[in-house]
Amino acid sequence: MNKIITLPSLVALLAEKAGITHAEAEQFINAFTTLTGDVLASAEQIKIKGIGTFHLSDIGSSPIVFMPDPDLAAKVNEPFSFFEAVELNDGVTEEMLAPADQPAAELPEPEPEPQPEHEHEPETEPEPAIEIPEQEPVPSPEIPEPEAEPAPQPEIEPEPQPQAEPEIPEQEAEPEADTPVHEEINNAPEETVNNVVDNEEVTAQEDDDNAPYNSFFPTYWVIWAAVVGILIGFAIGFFTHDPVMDAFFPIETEIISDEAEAEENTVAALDSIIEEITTTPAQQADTVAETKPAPQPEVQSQAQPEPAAAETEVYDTITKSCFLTTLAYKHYGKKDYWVYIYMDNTDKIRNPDMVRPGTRVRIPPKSKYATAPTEEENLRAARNKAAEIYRKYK
Amino acid sequence: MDNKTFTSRLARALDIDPKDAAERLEAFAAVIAERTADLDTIAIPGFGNFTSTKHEESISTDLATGRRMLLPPQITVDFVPGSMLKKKVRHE
Repeated sequence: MNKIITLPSLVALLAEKAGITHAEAEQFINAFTTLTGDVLASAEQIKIKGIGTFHLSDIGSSPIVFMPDPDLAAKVNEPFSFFEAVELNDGVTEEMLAPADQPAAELPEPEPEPQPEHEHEPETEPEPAIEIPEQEPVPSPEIPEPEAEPAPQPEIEPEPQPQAEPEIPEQEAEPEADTPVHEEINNAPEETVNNVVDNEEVTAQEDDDNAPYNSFFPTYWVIWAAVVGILIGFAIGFFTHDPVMDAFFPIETEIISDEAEAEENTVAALDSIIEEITTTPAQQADTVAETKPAPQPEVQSQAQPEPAAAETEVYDTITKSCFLTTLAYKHYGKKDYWVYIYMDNTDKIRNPDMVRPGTRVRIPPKSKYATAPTEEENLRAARNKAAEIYRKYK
Repeated sequence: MDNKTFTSRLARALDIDPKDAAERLEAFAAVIAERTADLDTIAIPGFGNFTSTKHEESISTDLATGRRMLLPPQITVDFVPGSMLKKKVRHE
């Protein structure tokens, strides 16, 4: 430390370090210095790894400037490599750092810690400071508030203030105004008790129900219930009214139109009958009173053609329990003659196995399709026709 | 002159292998680093002195921002050329 290493010492150190003899070490040092001088004399800089850079300079008193190599600087400053530049706070002064330098010159970081008592670490100090204002107001309870409260506020953190306040006002307020304070104090526990009871009830109610269900019930359950209800309603409507089929096969409109036509026909027939009824008594009333019962048979005779016309076009309705075969058995006595009904209602029925209930079909007379002379041939023809119809839809 | 050229010329002057010259030069740099780290002064007659100076921790103030930095201690290595080297460089 702070020694001067002379040439013999340097030779010895180099010989030991490089594992060479002293003569070789001395010869190396001489060659090093001579070569460096020669190069510098030629105004050329030298960069030697591990040592630094030598170059000439006209600035300053020394003509040679040496820049240590970064490796050399790092090796030399290795004991201080753990330290880093630290930004100082405003309260730290050089006087605070000075005492720490004397005992340990190599430990600059612990210096700020013991000194900044008031500026940097107020958390440990305020606790005794809180106790002092509490004890002082007790002997003189009449004038404590203006003196005790402002004192801790500027220096102490806001945290200790609420701790000191509840104790001081109780002791101070007793001599000055007992009743309001006591009322407040007395009322306060009741309110708090009520609040506590309410809170307990509420918490008890809340404890009964799990929190996840509480959050789940009002939102998801309602949504799920609505969705399930909609799906169920849609399913019921689909299987009963079959709106999809209605959209593709608008049969109901045809039925309605047929029904409307039939109603119009019946209404027209009834109108004609009513006209006849109304006209005939008026005409006959002038002539003979005895002929009054005459209109009745006329009406009957006029009304008779209507059932005859109704017999020509018989209508029936297909239900869930009444199919084409059922209607055929009902009107023709044989189920196999359902093809007659089908052929006469091809404008309403397409697939004979998918006739919707409620379809009003026209029942043709048997003679319209049963053209064969014998019943067996008609049955055979009807079966062949049925096979032909089914072939279309299978 | 870079390190490689200097090493080769040093090996030629010493009439040794460049590799050996590089090893010796590396050992020489290590000796300088060790001694200067102990704040010793290496005095080489006719050439100069390798000196080291320890700078204690200090407070650096930025005049622009007012920020103050506590700098750690530092050792700087310097070279003071000898009189003969000065004369040689100045061609006196």
